[in-house]
Amino acid sequence: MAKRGFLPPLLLTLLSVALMTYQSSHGPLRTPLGPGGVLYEASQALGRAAQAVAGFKEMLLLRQRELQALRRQVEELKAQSITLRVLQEENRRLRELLELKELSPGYVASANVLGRSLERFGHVLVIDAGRSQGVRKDMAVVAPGGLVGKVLKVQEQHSHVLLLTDIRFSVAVRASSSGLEAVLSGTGGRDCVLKYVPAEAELREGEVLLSSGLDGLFPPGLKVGYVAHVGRAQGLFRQVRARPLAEPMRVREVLGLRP
Amino acid sequence: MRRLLLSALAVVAALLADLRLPLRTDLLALLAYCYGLRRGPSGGIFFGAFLGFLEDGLSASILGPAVLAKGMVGYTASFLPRGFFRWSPVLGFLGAFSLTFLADALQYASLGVFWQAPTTLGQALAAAALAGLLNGVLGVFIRPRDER
Repeated sequence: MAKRGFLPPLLLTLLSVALMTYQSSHGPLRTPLGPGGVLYEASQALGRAAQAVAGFKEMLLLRQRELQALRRQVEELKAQSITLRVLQEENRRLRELLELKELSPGYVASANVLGRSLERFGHVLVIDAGRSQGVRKDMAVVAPGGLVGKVLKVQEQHSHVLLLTDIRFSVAVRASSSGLEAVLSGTGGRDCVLKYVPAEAELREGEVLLSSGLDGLFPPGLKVGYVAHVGRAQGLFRQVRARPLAEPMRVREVLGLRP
Repeated sequence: MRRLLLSALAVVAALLADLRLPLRTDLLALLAYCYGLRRGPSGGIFFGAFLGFLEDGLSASILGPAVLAKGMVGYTASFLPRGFFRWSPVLGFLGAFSLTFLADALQYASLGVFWQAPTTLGQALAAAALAGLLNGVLGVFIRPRDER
């Protein structure tokens, strides 16, 4: 029994040693598993395929990272582009304001619009110039487009500007072509009205209205608005709507002018 | 239990392959050890020799060293729980460690004598010891069939 038990390892040892001795002089035996064998080549091919798949996966990963980096760059460039556009727009506005300042002999102060006033229905802006900068009550406030309004209330560093669309605002104007005198008043809406236009007056839509200076508050020659609609005559006067040139609710920088 | 063991072996092999450690495992020796432990000497030697044949066949060297080494592991493992040995986790560790170490040493010696030594003796022994340690740890969980 003991002899039978040792037979398999003995045989295995003898066989292995014989195999190895043979191969040591004749070179390794070629098996289907070894180099050149079908299975070996198949396994090599599988390995190469796996490597190719891994390479492709790695390439995809790389592309994905590149794509993410490019997306980040695009976002940064978009943000830079927006900043640039804002700066360009600001530059344009400031240049216009500078030109306006040079052309306005009554210049007192320039100011940024801080926001709208808390008045529920009023058309009032708050600007960052006040008594310290020389701003006074009823001073004309203009923007590159034209007249914006007048100073309603003055504080040390801030002022409230009553816009010409406010119902409490009025300015004496003159039509640029016909020379017709009238009073432009706010309506509380987007447009203004021209008051005291005689029924027989010749007024065309689109005609520009300039301040006449007859009210003693606003310097003459300021662009105020244009005739938007000429209505029917009612009694002695004609109903005329006008629209401000300066778009008061959209201005960002303004100048204060003395009469 | 067998499925669990094979799954654990596959997971360990995959993890070690993925970690790319300088550690060369010899899980085929452990498989031969496991088979011999559970199936007896004949099954152990044939299965071990078969595994060795696969290993040698897939290598670029001669056919025989792994056949001999793995066959001997399968054969010898079947004697561990017999006689005055009684299987215990310590014996499992020692058996798997020593048989893996001896198999690797035998494989190295066969290659050195009949073909060409693949590395220096020191590195071969270190690699065999490391592979033996790993197999020894796994050997704790490999019990003979009649042990519970």
